[in-house]
Amino acid sequence: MIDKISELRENIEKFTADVNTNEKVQKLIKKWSSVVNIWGKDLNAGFILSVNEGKITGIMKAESIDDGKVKVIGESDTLIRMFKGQEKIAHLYLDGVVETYGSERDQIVLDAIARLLWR
Amino acid sequence: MEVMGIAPNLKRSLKFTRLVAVTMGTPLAASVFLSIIIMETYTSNFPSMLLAVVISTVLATAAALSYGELVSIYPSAAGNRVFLKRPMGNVISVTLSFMWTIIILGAAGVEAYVLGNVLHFLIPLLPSILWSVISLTVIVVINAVGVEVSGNFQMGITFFIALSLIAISIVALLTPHVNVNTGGSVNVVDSLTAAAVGVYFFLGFGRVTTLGEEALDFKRGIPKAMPIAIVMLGIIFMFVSSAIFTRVPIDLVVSSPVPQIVLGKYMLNKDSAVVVALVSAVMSFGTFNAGILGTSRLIYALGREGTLPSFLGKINSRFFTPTASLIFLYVIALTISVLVYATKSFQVPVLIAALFDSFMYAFVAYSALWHHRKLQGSEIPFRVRGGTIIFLVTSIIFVVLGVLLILTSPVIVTILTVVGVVVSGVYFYVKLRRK
Repeated sequence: MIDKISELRENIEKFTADVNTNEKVQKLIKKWSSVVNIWGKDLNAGFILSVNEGKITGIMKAESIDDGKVKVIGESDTLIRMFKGQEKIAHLYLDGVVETYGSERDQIVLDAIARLLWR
Repeated sequence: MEVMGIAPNLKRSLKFTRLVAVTMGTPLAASVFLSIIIMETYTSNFPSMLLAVVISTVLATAAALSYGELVSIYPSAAGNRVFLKRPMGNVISVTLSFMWTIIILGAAGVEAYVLGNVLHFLIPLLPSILWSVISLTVIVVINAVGVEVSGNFQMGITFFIALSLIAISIVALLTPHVNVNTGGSVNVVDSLTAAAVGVYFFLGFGRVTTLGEEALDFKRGIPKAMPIAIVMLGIIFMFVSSAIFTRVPIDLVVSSPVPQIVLGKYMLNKDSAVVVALVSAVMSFGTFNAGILGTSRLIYALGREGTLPSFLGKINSRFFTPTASLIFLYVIALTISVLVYATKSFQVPVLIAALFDSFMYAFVAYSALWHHRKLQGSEIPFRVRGGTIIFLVTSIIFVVLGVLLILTSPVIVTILTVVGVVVSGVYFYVKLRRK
């Protein structure tokens, strides 16, 4: 399980670096601020991403599944594939594989980021 | 960037009352008055009408229990699409959920028609069709620029509408006036047919299952909130239909786009009709606001997935809204609204919605039955006691209601519904086979 947590964390860190350095993503989300909880159901653990005006400014261990303004909850393997760009968020939403909670706007922003990074 | 410390607990919870309000918000549309008038034409006397209202409320509650069990299994998912996928397959599930979206848009078109007439009554400066176009355009632009109404404000609006409708009905029922002859004995077949139309009164209650907003309690809160909301809607339904049926002669309302205003004018005076019209306008804006962005998300996601044309998956980079999907919805709703004006008949879209609604609830109940029998108890957080029987009976009765509607509605209703399902079914079959 520790391996999975580490693998998820590594992929989130790589995703963070990509988001913060990708010009198109930065242009798109420059006015977006939020707190995103990425929670692995099988791990019973997750990470909080603090986003401030388009930049992911911090990653912290989540205290509980209830943390965060936006939540992305799923099996760790699915989340890892998602952060590697091997799964479309829209597809995961339509199939109910990943649970996403947040305003429509926040959920669309997440999908848009994925689209720009991995299309 | 490395992981730093532990995040503070930002737990938020959506109160149960708000869940009930969200469930009630979409169905409380001004077009429900039209469905009441159609029900009147199916039932020859008040006891039959009352029985129809009770049957449709009980059945909608049973449908809500089916949705409740499914949403506890698939929280925050794409509603009908994912609920139906395992028991019925990908093509059927995507076809039915797409058609469901089109049906909701049809209802939005009828709603715009009613709203146009209501606004024309309030401000006769412009013709009603222009009011309809303006209202729909304003709603879509508001959604496109990402203006969000707060949850608490929406809750306030919903309860304001609910209480206003009950108050208006009580005043109408108590005001001394010439009684309409509504006596007679119950005709069960008439009541069942009218009950199928009455299901329209609850159209869109399942939207709460796709909301995905904030920290919704999908596993317990929503499944419990939906039946409570349906019963509350049923009580409102009973008051409003009783007032219209027993106090206003059918000849006066049968072809009126705004029977609620006729009720106000006939029973009281023009000032009272203005109050009714204002409540009606709030109902329309409330239901539009509640429904349109959520509906656009399914179209957007299907565009992103490649099942629908990819341009529908585009978003506006300034407002983060699915603009193309919203325009698509706007065009369909506006077209239907204009068609209603052109044909001067609101019956066809309302009956199509009621017909498709009946079969959709039958499929959802079947899906709940399938999951209830296949999954272990621990895999279903909200397991309905006696679910096997309840879901089976619900599914069968909704099929019977659907068949009754086919037999009693104008043939165009069945033709349009079947053509819509077949054409979209073939499209999705071809599209999904290529992927």
